[in-house]
This record gives sequence, C-alpha cells and structure tokens, in this order.
Amino acid sequence: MRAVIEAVALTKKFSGLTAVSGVSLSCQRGMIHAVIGPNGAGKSTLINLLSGELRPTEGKIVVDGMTVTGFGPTKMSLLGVGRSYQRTNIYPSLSVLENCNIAVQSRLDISMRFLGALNSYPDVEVGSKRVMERLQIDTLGHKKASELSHGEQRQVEIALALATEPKVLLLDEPLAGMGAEESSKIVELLLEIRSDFAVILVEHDMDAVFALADKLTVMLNGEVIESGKPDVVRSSYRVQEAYLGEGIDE
Amino acid sequence: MDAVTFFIQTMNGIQYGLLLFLVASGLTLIFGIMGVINIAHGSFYMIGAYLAWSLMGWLGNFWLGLFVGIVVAFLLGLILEWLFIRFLYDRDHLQQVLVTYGLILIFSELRSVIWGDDVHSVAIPALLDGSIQLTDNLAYPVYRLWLSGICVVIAILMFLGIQHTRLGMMIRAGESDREMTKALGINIGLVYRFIFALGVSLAAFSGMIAAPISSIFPGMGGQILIVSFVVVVIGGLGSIKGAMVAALLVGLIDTFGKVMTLNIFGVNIFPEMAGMSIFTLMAVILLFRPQGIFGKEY
Amino acid sequence: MGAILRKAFPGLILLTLVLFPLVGDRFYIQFASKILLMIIFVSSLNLLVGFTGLVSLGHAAFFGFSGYVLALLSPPDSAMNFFIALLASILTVGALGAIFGALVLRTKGIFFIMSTLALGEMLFYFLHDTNLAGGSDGMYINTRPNLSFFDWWQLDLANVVHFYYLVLILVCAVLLVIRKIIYSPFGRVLAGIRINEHRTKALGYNTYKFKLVCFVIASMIAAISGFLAAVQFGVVNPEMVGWHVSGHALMMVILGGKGTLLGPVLGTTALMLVEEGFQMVTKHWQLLTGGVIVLVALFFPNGLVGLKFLKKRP
Repeated sequence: MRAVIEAVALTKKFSGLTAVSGVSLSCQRGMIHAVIGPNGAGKSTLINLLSGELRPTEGKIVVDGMTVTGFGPTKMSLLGVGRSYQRTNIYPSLSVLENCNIAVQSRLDISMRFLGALNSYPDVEVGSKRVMERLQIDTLGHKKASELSHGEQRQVEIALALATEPKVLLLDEPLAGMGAEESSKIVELLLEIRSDFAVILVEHDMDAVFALADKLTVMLNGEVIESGKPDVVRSSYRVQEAYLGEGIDE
Repeated sequence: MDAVTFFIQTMNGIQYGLLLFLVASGLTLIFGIMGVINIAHGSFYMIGAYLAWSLMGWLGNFWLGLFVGIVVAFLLGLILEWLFIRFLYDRDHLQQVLVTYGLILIFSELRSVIWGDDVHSVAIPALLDGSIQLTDNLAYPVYRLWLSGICVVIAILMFLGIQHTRLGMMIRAGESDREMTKALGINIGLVYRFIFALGVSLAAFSGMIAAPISSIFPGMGGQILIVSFVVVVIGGLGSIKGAMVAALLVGLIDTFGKVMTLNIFGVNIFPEMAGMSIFTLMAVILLFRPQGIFGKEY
Repeated sequence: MGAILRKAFPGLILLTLVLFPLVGDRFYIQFASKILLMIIFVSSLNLLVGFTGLVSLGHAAFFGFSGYVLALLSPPDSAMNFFIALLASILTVGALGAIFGALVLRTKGIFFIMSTLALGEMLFYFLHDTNLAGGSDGMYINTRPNLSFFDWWQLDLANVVHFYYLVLILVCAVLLVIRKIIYSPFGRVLAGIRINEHRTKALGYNTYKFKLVCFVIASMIAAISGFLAAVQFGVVNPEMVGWHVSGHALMMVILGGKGTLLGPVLGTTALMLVEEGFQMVTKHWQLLTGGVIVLVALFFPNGLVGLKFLKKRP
C-alpha cells in the first residue's frame, strides 16, 4: 500500500541549531505511526514541518505521490493534512459548536458567501454535530470554549482537526494534560477511527503509544535512532540507553 | 545636476537620514523593549523644537538651551510613563494607539496654548555658524556636519549598547517579554520608565538640533512621525541596522526627490510628487519584502 | 423588563430618528445628518477593527477619496445622476482599497498600523501637493447630484430634511448589510481570523484573501459615507483623508464598543455630541477631546455597549 504522507531526509536548522536532522518516515491509511523521544528531541518541529508551518532546510515531503515541500499550512490543510497542537490552539471566545463550524465550513466552499446566515447551511451543523458526537462533546455545544475544563478543551482541539476531514492526522501530544479517563476515551476514539486516516502521533504517554502504534520511531537530538514495530523498538538497546534517566513508563 | 550640487544634496540627504534614524530608533526602542506602539513619538520631536526656541531665547545660549531641553524632555518622559504609559504594557495595540493618539491631541493643543500657532526659527550657534568652502561659489554649512557627526556618535553608542547588553539582546529578538526581563533580575518598572524617558529625550533632542536648519511649525510632529513609520516599515523590526539603512535611504530619496525634476510626457513629476517618493519606496518594500529589508520573517 | 428594553432599544432609536426632523430645527437636523453619515464610516472601520481584528489608522483615505471622486466627476454647472455618481465613487474607492489592502495586509500587528497610516498620508500628500484636485484648498462641488426616480419623484439634496432622510435610510441599509456579513459564512471566518488567525490558517483558510475582501468591503462602505459628506458640505479637502479623521473614527469605535453593531452608533453620537459641547466651552477643545480619549482608552476599553443595561447577548 502506498504511503499517504512521506518525509524524506527532512532537516530543519534554526540559526546554527539543528532541530531535525535527516528524518525519514512514512504513514499509510489505517496506520498509526508514533514518534517518541525525550523533550527537545525535535518531535514537535517534525510535526510543524509536516503540517507546513515550518519550511524544511533540506529534504522533501510527499503527500499522495505529490511533492509538497514548502507548501504553507493552508495548502497542506486543503491537501488533507490535518493537525492538532500540543498547546491548545482553539477559539476560546466562541462556543464549542462555533469552533467546529469554522473547521467544517472550510471544506464546504461556502466561505466566500456574504449574505445568507451560516445557520441556513445545514451541512455545517450536520458536520459539526457528527464530529462533536465522535469526541463526546456534543452536550457542550453551546458552552464557550474558554469555560471548558482543560481536558474538554483538548477534545475540542482534536475535534477541529477531525472536522476538516483530513487524510493525514498529525497529533502533537493529544493526551497532554488529560486525566486517565479522558485519555482512555481518546485512545478508544483513535482505535475506532484509525481505519480512515494515516495518523502520525507524537505522545509521551507510553501506555497509549503501545496500545495504538503500528509503527514506532524514536528520536533523540533531532535524529531517528530507531524505527520499526513496537516490540522491536521496545527491546532495542539504543532506545533503552537513550531513555536511561528518563525511563519508559510501563 | 553638476557634481558639486550632487555632493551637497547627498550630504543633506545623509544628514536628514541620520536625524530620521534618531527619531525612528526611539520608536523601535520603546516598541522593542516595552511592546508599546507610541504614536505620540512625533509630538516629542515637535516639543523638542519648540523647547529649543523658547530656551535658547531665554537663556541666550544654544548649548545651555540644549542641555536644559534634554533634562526637561527626560523629566516629561518619566512623568508620562508614570501617568499613562505604564498602564499600557499588557494592553492590546488598539488601546496603545488610542491613548497615545489622545496624547497627540493634548500636546498639540498645549503647544497652541503655550507657543501659539506661528512658525518660528532658531539661530545657528555662533561656534558652528560657518561654512566650508567647496568651490569658489559653493559652501557647505558646518552646523549640518556637526549634526551628522552627533547623530553618528549616538548611533554608535546605540549599536554598542544593543550588541553588548542583555536589554539590547531583547531589542534584537524583536519582542518584549516581561517574564524574561524579570528573569534577568531587573526592576522592570524602573527600567521601563527610564527607557521611555530615554526615547522621549531622543525624539526631543532630534527636534532641538533640527530646529536651526528647519522651521518650527505646528504640524512638524505628525510629519516626522509618519516618515519614521516609513523608516521602521522599510527597515524591519528588531533590526537597528535595518533602521539605519532605511533612514539613510529615505533621507536620500526624499532630498533628491525635492530637487530633481522628472519630465514624463511633458508633465513635471517632481518636485510636486516629492512627498510621495518615500511612500512609493515603502509600497515597493511591502510588495516584495513585507518584513522589511533586514527584518525577520513573521 | 430589562430584556424588553434591550430588544426594543434599536427600534426606539429608529423611531426617534424618523420623527426628529418634525421637531428639530435646521441646524440640529444638519448636525444629526453629520452624525449619521459618520456612523456609516465608523461602522465600516468597525468591520475591520472590531470584527476582523485589523487596526487601521488609514481608513480616512477611503472616506475622503470618495468625496474627491464625486468632486472630480461633477460637471462645473450641471448636476450628476446621484446613483451613477455614488456607484462610481464606491467602485473607484473599492479599487483603491484593493491596492492599499494588498500591500498593507502583507504585514501584521504594529506594522499593519504603521503602514496603513503611511499609505493614508501618501494619499494626503498626493492631494495636497499636486494640482490635480485643487491642492491644499480642495475642491468645490457646485451642483449637488440629482436624485430622482424616473422623473416622478425627486429628492432635493440641498434640502436638509430630504438629505437627512436619505442618510438615515443609508445608515439603516449599511447596518443591515454589516449584520448580514457578520452572521454569514464569510463573517464567521473573519471572526476566526480575529480570534485565532494561526489556527484559521491551519484549518485551510487563505486568511490573506479573506482579509483583503473584508478590507475592500470596508473601504466601499467608507466610500458611501465620504460621498454623503461631500454632498452635504459641497466641498472636499485633503484633511478629509488625513489621519486625524482615522484616529477619531477609531476612538468612536472603541467608545461605543468594538465588534458590536450598536457600538459605532453609540460611540459616534457620543463623541460628536461631547466635542460639540467642548467647542462651545473653549477654543482649545482638542485638549478636552484628547483627555477623554486617553481616559476612555485606559479605563473604559469595552465602550458604552459594555454598560449593564445594553449588555449584548450572553
């Protein structure tokens, strides 16, 4: 099966500092590819490169067989690369429903219409309801996002990414700051919807990673030190060495 | 245009550019460190010029007037920071624009109350009131050379300060961060007050030293403010080097725009359009390099 | 009671405005027309500042230039058709808005503020220093445009009451259009840009394009206002595009409450009345205006609509 998204020898340098160095990875539909590593390993930079928010210094990015290196976040999103952020990045002063509406609307080709009210486009609300149900936040629809609990805001964060109906889902620490119960809800959700997406997952919660990942890439100081099936990576000497001091929580 | 005129206009352009640098760098200083956009900055230039006129008249001495003027401007800066500006640090740009816009109206009206609405001029101090003979019938005024010299000295001091101090590092980073300043272990309240007063003095000083070579008129603050904005937009944020290059560029283009006549299809474009030339440059920069010549990408 | 009052509030204002010429004298009707046409201008700025988060200090360029278009188009001794003249002004200013917008929207934050101010002043110097449109003196519009519907009904724009009702109708129309826009799919994207442009980009919106369209719409609405101002005063001058007009309008947006429909209505009325009062008290009334602006911006950033009984929807 052909990879939906593929990174080839991606490198990103920030004025002297190399944050990501020659990283290659790929992901197919129906697969969850987890990227782990200690803080500062370059995982978030990698996600930002794949989502188009950073421009790689070297290397290329391929989506559906098309080279898209240097495309900005807007184009990447329209090509079907959706993402969530490590630091919650939603519309705090809007309601949950309005948050989702903006994301759903981006796929409907109605956004340049000035005069009809948004309410008169039923597709938008249908789409928002569906994504809110998926994340079990449909009861919160009319609550202002800034008034939600941290965990609920994280769910809205993921909802925004899902609402754009992407082919590739880049999840940057989706479980960060979530309670155990909320985390397991998200893990269940990902298991449920995995067949529709190619997911690249950056996550510190190792239980979740091993429950979800089909493939594991371990980064350290911007480089890939190991990549393969979870069991193989788990027993890798180099990974154990890299995590020494931090330790894989199991 | 013959070689001597060209030389003189180049010198004038550089001198105007250096003056613009002083004003624009005060603007960048206040924005770079404190995150405040101060559109009343031009008013301080205007106040400086009127102060020079009054003080030099009363005291009868250019140098004494200059010194007292700087002290007055610095005190004014301290008071304004304490009264208004310190409330603006955590506010959005809109509020900063409005408060400082209100200050513009206040200063402009106070100027009218104190000094009236007439145009004035200040005499060049005797010490610098000479010319250097270039050819038999052309000379260059010493005062303009002195003015350029003093601007260069201040610019060098600023470069050193920005390269070698931690506050300078913040200006280069192009962002203000109160947390970071706190981490440096400085009393930020005091530092900010000092920096603001410094910016005010810089603008007022520019107005004072410009007074002998240009007329002193009510709208001079708005004029210099807008040209400084053009300089900052062209130069780019967080770059003192950019501000310097942009200021010189704007100074030269404006000066030459005023003396050159461009004849297109029988219509004389300059000097009527001189006021437009620097804006045209800004438009071109926005088109091709919106972050400014030396600015970082957003 | 409060809820009913709040609901009825716009209706009450409108009723008062419709009845006003029956009781007000000539001077006050003229002054009211001036306030109403400024409401159009301030509302257009509010579309940028309040609804999209773009703080422009050069919006007067569109207000003033629209008047200039009318002045330049008007033949010296006969009247122009009102609708043709208005349309010409709106379209010309819209084109100018597209050019200015395309440039300034490439910047962000304070650079946006600075470059809008600079481009506005560029237009000022252009009108002031060249002889293309009367230089620093400006231009007179000798004959007001002719507003008639196929010869059977005619408004006399020199008649203050006729002019007042024309402006009142246009104010209502503009407010309705802006209301439509902000609740439309387009308007929701503008809200997204205002609240979190980064995320809006990442959701696949070309935010530059949306901001540019909004900028052009705002400039065209400002053109309506400038056109009416030129008709009312019969004269245009470079000060109309100057940054003090922009600054004042910005103040009116804040004083009323940015990002609300009613805000510009309240803010414009309040500031213009207060300034009128100041002018009666002292020659140096700008001192008082400046003081009010500083105090409002510092201590009252939510404006009049933030007042309890006018509180907008929860």
